[in-house]
Amino acid sequence: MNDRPPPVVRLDRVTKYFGPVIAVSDVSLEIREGEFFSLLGPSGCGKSTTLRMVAGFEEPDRGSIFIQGSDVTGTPANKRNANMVFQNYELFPHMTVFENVSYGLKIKRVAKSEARSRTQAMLETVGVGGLEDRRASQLSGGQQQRVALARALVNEPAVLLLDEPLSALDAKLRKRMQLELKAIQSSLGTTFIYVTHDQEEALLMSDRIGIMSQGELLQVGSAREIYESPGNSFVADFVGSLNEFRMRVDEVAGLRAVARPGDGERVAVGVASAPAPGAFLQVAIRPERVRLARRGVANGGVAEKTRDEECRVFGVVGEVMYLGPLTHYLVDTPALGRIVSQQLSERREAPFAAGDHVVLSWEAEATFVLSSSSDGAGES
Amino acid sequence: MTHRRSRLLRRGAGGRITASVYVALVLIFLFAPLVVVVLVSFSSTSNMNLSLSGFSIRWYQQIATDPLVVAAFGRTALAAIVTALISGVLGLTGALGAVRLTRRWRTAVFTVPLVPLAFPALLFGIGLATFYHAIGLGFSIWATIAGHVILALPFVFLVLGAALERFRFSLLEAARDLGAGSFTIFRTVTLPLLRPAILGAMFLSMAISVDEFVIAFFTAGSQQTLPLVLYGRINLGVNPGLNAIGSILLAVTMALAFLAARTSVLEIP
Repeated sequence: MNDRPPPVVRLDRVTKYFGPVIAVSDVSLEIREGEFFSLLGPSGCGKSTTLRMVAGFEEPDRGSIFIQGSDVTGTPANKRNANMVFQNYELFPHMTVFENVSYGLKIKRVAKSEARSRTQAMLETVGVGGLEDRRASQLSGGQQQRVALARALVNEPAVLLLDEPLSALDAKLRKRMQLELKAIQSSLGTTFIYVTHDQEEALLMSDRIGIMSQGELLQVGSAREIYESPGNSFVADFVGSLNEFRMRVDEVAGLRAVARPGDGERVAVGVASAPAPGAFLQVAIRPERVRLARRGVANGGVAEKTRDEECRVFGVVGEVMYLGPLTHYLVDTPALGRIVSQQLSERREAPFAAGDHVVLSWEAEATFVLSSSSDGAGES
Repeated sequence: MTHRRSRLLRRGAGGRITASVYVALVLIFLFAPLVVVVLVSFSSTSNMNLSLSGFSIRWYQQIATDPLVVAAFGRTALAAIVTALISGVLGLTGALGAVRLTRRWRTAVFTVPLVPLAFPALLFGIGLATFYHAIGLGFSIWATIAGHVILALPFVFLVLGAALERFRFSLLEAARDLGAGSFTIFRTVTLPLLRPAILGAMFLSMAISVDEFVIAFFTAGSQQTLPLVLYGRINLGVNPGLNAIGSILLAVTMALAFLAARTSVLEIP
């Protein structure tokens, strides 16, 4: 890493109340130049309010907002070097596509010929060249989306703010727009702040993601960091799905806690700091990290050949759920309860069927401890 | 509700004929007097009956050369246009301000202007005349216009209030985001989008002003409007010339009402 350029947008301990309700709580954040940054969280978590404060539609009750190094707290939206793509596009219905996109340039008194060529070029960039004379009402959802994008980008803002811009599109178009949006962002090099509640969308497009819940910014990191090393149980659960189980620590080896719940069984989990033997841990593991093997009956039920010697949990397949590219095996284990294992689907038939005796295993490092307690009374 | 209505609509031919006759009777009852007024205005004689001995436009020629009628026509037009302009501006600014209020205050603000409507017109007219006299404002067409504005304002308010219910205020946010200040936003987004409703409301104001009698009677003084001239002439004796004046009033009012309905019903996109 060479020395980082200064942040394009900086939030310094920003807090916002709506009446008695705290919408955004003490959020500090730096968005880097040219970055695709996503604010991810469930509805009502404060992500849209945060975005609207950067845009200038809401003012923070405490804290400051900086764009390109200068304090814009209190500066009205029309004087900020940021443009927004709204959830419902908000195209002007009484104007043509061309008039919509060139609106900002006209306000800024950009010369007519320059405004015309910049508008044309931007319409080409977002893939709606040739629709200049249409009205907004004559466009499809996807086209409206692109025009809204062009209308904001043509002003060459320091940062583009996008408030769930794809949520009104159908699934197929949405997938395509995600890729295109990412491509447009990297080709223009504009800094994007993207608000979404769709974790897959955030993982796919973002350089970095900030996870919000109940007004708080819980974790900021790359998609892989957020997904593989979630900072807490909310993040872990919100991004992707989880198996959760509870175990009693029988032995500790370095940063690895081991339980031996049954004959021949061995549950190994990675821990940040070594717990005392006898402690109870609330542990999570993602379904795709749980491996499955057939349990041989030849050696009297003991797993003779799992790929991982470290971890062995016995169970019986309860249900097989075919989801197209993936198959979920719901395995009932005496030791840990029901554990879901996610596998790539086989073309002909599933290798395991309901009622099969199987062995579950995983790498200890793939687990995360959600909470621990010494006596087993308190937990998650 | 919808279900019950659809069942009522789905009925036999007998029912449909009964319904058609019923509607026809209502229409005849409503419009026959107006049709008679118009027919008689084209009579070639001074007979007021429906014998219709011949078609002529002599009564229209007669009133067109009557200086009193022509002057009254001018005043009526002036009153209609000025009423529409003033009530349009007041109604728009008022409605735009009112939608920013909380629901409770908004309801109050949209209800208060309706009060004069519930008032008997005669009392309202007398009240206005007394008030103008008390504050030393003489009786003139301008006093009448002031009264017409009060009368038209609630309608303007209602039409614009309904339009603003459906107005996407987030569009104003989009304009601000693109760099526009408050005045530019008003000029380039608010006004063009509300134009159909504003025009509709103004046509409605004109229609109200054109055929208004009571307020004009008490406040116009010697500057009579067309309905006042019509009333005065009736006292002097009846001839088809009065029907010609009535027909003109009728045509203008209906045209304005039609324009009002057409423009303001247009869906705001």
